[in-house]
Amino acid sequence: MAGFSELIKNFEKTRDYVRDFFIYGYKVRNDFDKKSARTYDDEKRRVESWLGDYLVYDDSVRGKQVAISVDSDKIAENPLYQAFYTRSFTDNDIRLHFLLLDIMCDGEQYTARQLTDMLYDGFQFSLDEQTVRNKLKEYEEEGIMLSEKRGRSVFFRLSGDFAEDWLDSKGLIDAVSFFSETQEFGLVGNSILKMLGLKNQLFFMKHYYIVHALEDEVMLTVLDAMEKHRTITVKSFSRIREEKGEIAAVPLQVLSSVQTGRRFLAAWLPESGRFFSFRLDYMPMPKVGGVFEEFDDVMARYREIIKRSFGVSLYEVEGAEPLRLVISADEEKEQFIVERLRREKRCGTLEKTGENEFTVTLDVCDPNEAMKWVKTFIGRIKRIEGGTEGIRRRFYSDIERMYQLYGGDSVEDIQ
Amino acid sequence: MRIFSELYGAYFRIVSQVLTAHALTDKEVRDIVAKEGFRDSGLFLTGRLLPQNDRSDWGLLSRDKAGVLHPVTVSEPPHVLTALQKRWLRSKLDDPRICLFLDDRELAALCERTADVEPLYQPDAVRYVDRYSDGDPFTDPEYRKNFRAILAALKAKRAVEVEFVSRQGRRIITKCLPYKLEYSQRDDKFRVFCQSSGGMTAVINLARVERVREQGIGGIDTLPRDTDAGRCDEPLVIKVSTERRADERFLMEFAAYEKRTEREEGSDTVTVRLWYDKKDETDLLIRLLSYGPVLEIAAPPDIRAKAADRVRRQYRMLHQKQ
Repeated sequence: MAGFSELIKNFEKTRDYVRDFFIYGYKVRNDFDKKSARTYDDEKRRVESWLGDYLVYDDSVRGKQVAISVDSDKIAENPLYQAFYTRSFTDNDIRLHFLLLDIMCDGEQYTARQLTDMLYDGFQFSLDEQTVRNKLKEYEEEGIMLSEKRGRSVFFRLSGDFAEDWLDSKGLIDAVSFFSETQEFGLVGNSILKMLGLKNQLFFMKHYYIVHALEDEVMLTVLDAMEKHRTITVKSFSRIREEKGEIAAVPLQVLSSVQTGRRFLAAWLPESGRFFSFRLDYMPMPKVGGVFEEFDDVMARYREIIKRSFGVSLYEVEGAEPLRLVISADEEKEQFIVERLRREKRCGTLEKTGENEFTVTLDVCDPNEAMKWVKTFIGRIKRIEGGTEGIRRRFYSDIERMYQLYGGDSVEDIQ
Repeated sequence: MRIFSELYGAYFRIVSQVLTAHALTDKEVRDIVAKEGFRDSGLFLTGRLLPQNDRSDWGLLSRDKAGVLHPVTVSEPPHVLTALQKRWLRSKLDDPRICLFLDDRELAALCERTADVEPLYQPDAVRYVDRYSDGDPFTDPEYRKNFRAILAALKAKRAVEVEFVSRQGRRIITKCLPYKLEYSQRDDKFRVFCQSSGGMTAVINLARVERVREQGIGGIDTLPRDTDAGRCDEPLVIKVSTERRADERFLMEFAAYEKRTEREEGSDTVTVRLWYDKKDETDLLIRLLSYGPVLEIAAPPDIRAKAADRVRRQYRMLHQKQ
């Protein structure tokens, strides 16, 4: 396999493979038909190298399946972070990095010219001044270097923000350990721990969607655009991930479900004048555009509509009435059901409507979104009211189908 | 500012570690690569670190006459935080859970240090749409005190006496050894796993703890491993249809579980074997039923029977059957 490297230049393609290995698990080589077989083999080999301990192989009738299998409750470090530590670089990049740090850790300031000379004099490393200057500017953007202009010369020095000085208390190290495994860019915390040779061994996460880490690069770009009120251009993807063109959007908020694992970007679409939720895991890296002047007005409208969203839907279903879920629960012995209703009802209201009867009313823009939650109460639902006729009909039909699926009243089937 | 950058990469980290040593052997270099790198890193990285006759290495190590390797650099590579890392730390100061780890003085010092650092994201940039509303009171002084006492005991492997109120409202005092702290993203709660003096494992919600008293070493000295004690005897076997994209939704929702999946050629159903903790069985059952008729619990029979029982009760409730 000449030319194979375990490092990669572009994360986008790898992101798709890692996600498919992790989420689906049943796919075989032929299912990855968008790219060549060689690409599949290279990607598989890389994932094996990065995540070998978590890979499982099964022989199915369709072929050999490769899957990443992880019980997220039992791991103290997200293994998918490994995929981010794989960016390729040139020989000059790595040599220049460590030699520059060695020269500059004396805290002094140097021009690019001086550093170019010192690299040659001290290490026989010959580079042109522009290459050194470009690296210094790149590192300034990354926050490692600081610059100061004196006359016509620009002087660079190493930033004095050392990890050891910042993480100078056990409490802060514990905090970084904890947050390194939480949703919002835990990967960055993990990189700090790794820098110091540390590892989270204290905190374990339940209901933990480790796959979200794969979206962190996209999310960083989106949040930055959001903060600066900028538009983004997104390559629109269908559910089967076929490209369907580009769409301009104004990012407003990330909507994260801690129960279904799905994350969306709530956005305003200026061209069609409506709100829309994009799946973050399907979203390729967007391009950032100019400032959207009406951001404050749109955000104000968004804040109103999101109050009436049960999840991520920002679409007002025409003719929908408030959905009422009537639940049977023994007030004496089944307070845990009432507690469940109270803590899970989101924007709904809960009231006692009869003896051992409780009603949650959901005045939401899209009542259909609540139906999955409603069905977690199967066995206790006295009736549902409101919503739309279609929602009610589907609910009754679903119960009928489930009744048949589990054998109706036939005891034989269920034992 | 990039996340996917070689600055955080495994190779840069390994080189940094190698250059931290003043003298080392070829074997020590190989050992560092094997320990810190990926499975195949030895194939690609070692040859670039060790001096080569054809000068194809990176020129960062030189070999003396005795064959010992030395960095060509003078100082240990400094660990400079990037802007991304500082901005991430700054964002965490806006998270109420930071109070669990830092006292007010430490928190004030960190706020001062990061005064001119822009947060990486604002607290309201992410909305958790279905997080339970009764999360732990992270900023409550008593909760903070108890959390820190348990965390300290966990780190020092010391026993503590914990007084807590059970779900049934009973006040319980137990001497135990904390061995695991777990945070649920859905519940927004911490739970501590402890071994009691009788060898039993207790799981206590931190918010139910009223007092923690240090007990010192002794009494309970067997640290339990994180065994599979609570694991199901046999996996759930679930058939998920492609109708309503249930297969895709299911595999995403249950991504946190250890599982094996299989799709038969031409079939519109994915068969999933899923392993779970027995204590989560009811929670799992109601989540599976929420998929409606596009998901079927095929085995084991006792779980299928429980699902069928709930469905039957529901059917009768809607059709007024008794």
